Amino acid sequence: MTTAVLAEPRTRLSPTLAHILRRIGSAVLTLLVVLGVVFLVFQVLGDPARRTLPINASEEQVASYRAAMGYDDPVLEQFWRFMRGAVLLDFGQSTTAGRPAIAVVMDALPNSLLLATTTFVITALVGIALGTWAGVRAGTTADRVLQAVGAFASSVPEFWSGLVLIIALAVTVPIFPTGGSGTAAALVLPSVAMAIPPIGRLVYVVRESVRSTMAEPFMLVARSKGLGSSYTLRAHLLRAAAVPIVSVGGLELTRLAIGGVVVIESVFAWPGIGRLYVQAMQRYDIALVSATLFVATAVVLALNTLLDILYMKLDPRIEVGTP
Amino acid sequence: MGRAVFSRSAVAAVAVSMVIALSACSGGSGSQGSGDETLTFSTGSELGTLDVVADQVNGTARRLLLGSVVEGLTKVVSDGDKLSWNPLLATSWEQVEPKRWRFKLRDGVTFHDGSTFDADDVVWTISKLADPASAKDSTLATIAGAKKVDDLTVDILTTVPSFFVDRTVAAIGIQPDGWGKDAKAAQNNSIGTGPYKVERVTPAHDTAVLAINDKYWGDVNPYYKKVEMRVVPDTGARLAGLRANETDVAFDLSPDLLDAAPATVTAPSTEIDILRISDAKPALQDVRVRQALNYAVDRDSLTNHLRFGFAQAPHGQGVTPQVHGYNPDLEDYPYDMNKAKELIDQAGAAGAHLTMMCVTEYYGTLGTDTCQTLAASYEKLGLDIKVQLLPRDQWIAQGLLAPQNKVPAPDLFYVQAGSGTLDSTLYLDNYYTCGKVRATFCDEKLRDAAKAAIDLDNVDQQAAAYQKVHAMARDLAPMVWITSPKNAAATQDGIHGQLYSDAYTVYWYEWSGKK
Repeated sequence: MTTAVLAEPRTRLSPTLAHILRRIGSAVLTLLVVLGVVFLVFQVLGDPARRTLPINASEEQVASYRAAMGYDDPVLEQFWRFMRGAVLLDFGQSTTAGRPAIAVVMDALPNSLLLATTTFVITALVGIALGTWAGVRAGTTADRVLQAVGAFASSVPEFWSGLVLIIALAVTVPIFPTGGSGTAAALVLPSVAMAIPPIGRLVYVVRESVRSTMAEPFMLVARSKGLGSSYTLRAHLLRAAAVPIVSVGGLELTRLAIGGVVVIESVFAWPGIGRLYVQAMQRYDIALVSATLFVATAVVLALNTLLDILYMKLDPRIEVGTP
Repeated sequence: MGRAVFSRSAVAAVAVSMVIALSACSGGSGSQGSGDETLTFSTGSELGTLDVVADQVNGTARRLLLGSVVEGLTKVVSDGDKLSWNPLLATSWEQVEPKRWRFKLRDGVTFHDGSTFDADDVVWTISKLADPASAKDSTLATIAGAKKVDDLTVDILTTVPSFFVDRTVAAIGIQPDGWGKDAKAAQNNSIGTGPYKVERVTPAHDTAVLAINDKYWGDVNPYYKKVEMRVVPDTGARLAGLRANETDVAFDLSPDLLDAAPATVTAPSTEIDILRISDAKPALQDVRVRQALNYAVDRDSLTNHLRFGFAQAPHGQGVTPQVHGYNPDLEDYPYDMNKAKELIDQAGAAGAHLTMMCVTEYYGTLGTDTCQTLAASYEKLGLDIKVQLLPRDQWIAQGLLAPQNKVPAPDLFYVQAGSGTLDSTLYLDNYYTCGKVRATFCDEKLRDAAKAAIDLDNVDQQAAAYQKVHAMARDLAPMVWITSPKNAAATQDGIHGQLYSDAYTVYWYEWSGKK
């Protein structure tokens, strides 16, 4: 009896690759939606010519400016022009910088990423260390104190901690500069100010993760085998607790990269995209606002995609595409 | 179980070494020259492009930086509260026709790039400015263009007859013919004829440094060899930088923070904050009610508690002492709530419902606080005040330009009225001539007097006529005159300098001293 054998398909994507491609497609769609929302918001915010020109500007001046900037064109035409430009990464000329808005944003982005990365490293090192320390001492007085401190830290507004650090460590005891960039010292205070709330949150998550992992049967087996505490911690405990830590840490990095930098960059005059965004909104620089939001969204989506891949590597139990 | 994950001594050693290393790297002020020869100032607004014509309106930081780099045909000088205009790149001028002024240009002046200054440069700069699409300051909107007569003579044309073109041109920094065609170069540099030149600008435009122009044509001896600008968006951080001796001057501080600064440099403002009154409601058609609104303004409290002393009295008119047509004999309505209440009761206006329109962001919290304070005072008179806070473009469309847009104007409209060219004409034309653009109060005698004064072609006669118009208006009270805010910058002790008009006209070669 002959059994027909179906030929294997020539190309077959692995579930992981298919998942990644789906995520990228979803990210692109999300970007387009964000751009559409940005356009709509500026349409309802009011007359951009009246917002830009001085209050004594004559009607002729306003009309000329409106015509020169294309604000008189039909809304659909403006929308099409806007979206077409955005797809080509052409958001127009920044009215305040006098050059292409996307170039202004790309110049500022590395500064924000440096700040966010430094903050993340501080957060991860301090948060994991303190959280682990608290977790292995769960229930002790020291643990309770640390929990209270962590709760306070997680609720401290960044602008407040930033100004307090400036007063304490730049004015009263002038160790660090009050702001600016270009030196390693200038990076310290803004990074520490930004790190305080996520450290508070991470300490809690790590503590809980460590505490619950320590109660697992395999940890009892490890201790009964006579394995040292450090080895047990590194080889078993932290690895098992890594997924929730990476999950929260990744969320914090995403938040830091975009939302968290806005306030701190303004307080410390750090030349990143957060400060750029505030300036653009104050000046009603539509091109710069659009470009900033686009880049910020793209960074967030890229980070989330990378985190997904990291999860799958950390925990083989997380499978994609299987029923 | 209690053993530390990391060795305690190792952690301590790492922490201490990090602090020491980073302290050594601490840049402090980051100034370029030796400590006593560099003045560092901070500002809240972004520098943006250095092209002085591309973005006129949003360029407060640029004006602070480039006021000593580019020069106008004339320059404002101060003698106490009195301002006057002296020759600079022009040596003389005359009004040859009502809308044409002729300027004789200075010979032997060169730009920072070595090119020679002449009439072509003036024509180029002013033509760029006169372009309807340029977002220029409204005081320059009356400049129609320029025409070359010869290499050292140029005619400036205006859209309307004007006595004060010599003042207007002081605000126009002349740049070389063709400057700005290379947009990238104009974004990152500025070429002028001034005693300072741009030495460097960081790519993010958050720091810029000026250095002395060794080939300057004039006879000035700047105290500072370099001037450094830093953009610090946060107002608290600007004050902190001043107190940490990282900067010598800090601009854009709110009055409460100015009060905490080591020292301040102030200058009278050219603006008056007012409540424009609409006579649409019967209550406001009664002069007693309008006068009562003036009697109910506690200027001392507004000056001392809202503006922390950084304001002056408006003296019962909408222009400041330096302005053409200012009447020195007028005084404010004194603060007298009893008198105000008496007038309201006499007019039978108790219980009248009035709207007060203010803007949310244009004047910052001071604007909204002023509105709320006045509303509270008027409520005590028995009036029912509804305060509307609107974003800027709606505040303009529905408030300032309500007559033009044919929408009901608010009964009371908060705005700061000013004159960049120190001339009462615009103020009178806007508010006293029963015009259809901004006027919400119409009195025939006031209208006729204002129009006749505006049409005069003799400047001294016009000044006297304007004074009479201001006196008439003071009695009729078509608006509430609140305060005249002072311009101020925070400084280190021992720093001396001069601010002009709106506090963003600064000539750094006039500044000196350092602690």
